[in-house]
Amino acid sequence: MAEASSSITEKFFLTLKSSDGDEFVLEESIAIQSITIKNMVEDGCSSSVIPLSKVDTETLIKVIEYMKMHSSTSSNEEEIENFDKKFVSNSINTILNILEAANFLDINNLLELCAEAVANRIKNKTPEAVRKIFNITSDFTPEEEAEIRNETPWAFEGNLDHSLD
Amino acid sequence: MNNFPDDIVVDILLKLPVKSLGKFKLVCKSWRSLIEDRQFIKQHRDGCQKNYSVWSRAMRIAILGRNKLGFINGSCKRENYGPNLVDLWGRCNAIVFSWIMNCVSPELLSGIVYSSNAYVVWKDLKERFDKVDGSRIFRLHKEIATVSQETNAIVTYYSKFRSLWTEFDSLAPTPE
Repeated sequence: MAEASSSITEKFFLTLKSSDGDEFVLEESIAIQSITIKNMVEDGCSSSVIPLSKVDTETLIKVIEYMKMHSSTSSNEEEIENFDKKFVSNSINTILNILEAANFLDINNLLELCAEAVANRIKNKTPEAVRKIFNITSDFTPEEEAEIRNETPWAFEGNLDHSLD
Repeated sequence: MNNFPDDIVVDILLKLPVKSLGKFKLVCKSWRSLIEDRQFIKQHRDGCQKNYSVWSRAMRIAILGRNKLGFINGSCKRENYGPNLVDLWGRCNAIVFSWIMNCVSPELLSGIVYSSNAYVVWKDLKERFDKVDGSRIFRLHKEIATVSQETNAIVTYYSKFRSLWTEFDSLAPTPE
């Protein structure tokens, strides 16, 4: 029986549910690029809907797009490369959301891709711009700030980018 | 997006150049402590160094495969070629040079693009990134002496040893 079912390339489907309550049906072979989902499948908790309480619909759509592109054997390397390039041109906030989802879903390639993209985008920015992007309030006193600036004055030389994207 | 998880922030910070890290210490206290963390500094530095030795080996193999090793080890000099071969030398040099340019990160590109000799660029990259430092050797030495199997399988344990040995050998070769 087991042999019969494995010899036929039967497709299994999983249903993923975003935090906004939208459901997405995805082939199991594609979804298990996420180690989190893979573990759930192996533990047999995937018979019903898989709730992803930390991922909103917009982000989940992007993540699924990525997984589809990176799993299908039909897409060649060049296509994937172009896709990745376009993928990281999303707004920085979108990428941060995807990054968080990739961390939760444990998709290493996606995590690397997005971390690299964010690093590239922020490396020339001012600390103030970075604070806004990451929604952080500074907890330094002005004296402490001055002290840190003095520690590494060379880091603040050159043209800094004030934009938020 | 409040409370962005620290482990993701570390993933991002690891990919930043040192200059940006110096600047982002100012973002907030938690970023500062992440950046000044000893484990982080080590990981960040290892990332840069490991990359050079792997990169240079891969480049060497690729260039050797195309029979152009002379252009990066300095044995194939312009002076050795007569007037009718010098143009050809220039072409081959440019080809090797463009391979190197295509395989370095964009930040390095601006520093080497104005050079014209593949050998000079290769030497320059080696000098900048191929640092055998005493502290790394010492740490390897210590790690080899103190590594223990713990609950690992024998295969994992052995592989760990192997990787330490090979790295140690490549950093500090046994005298002939």
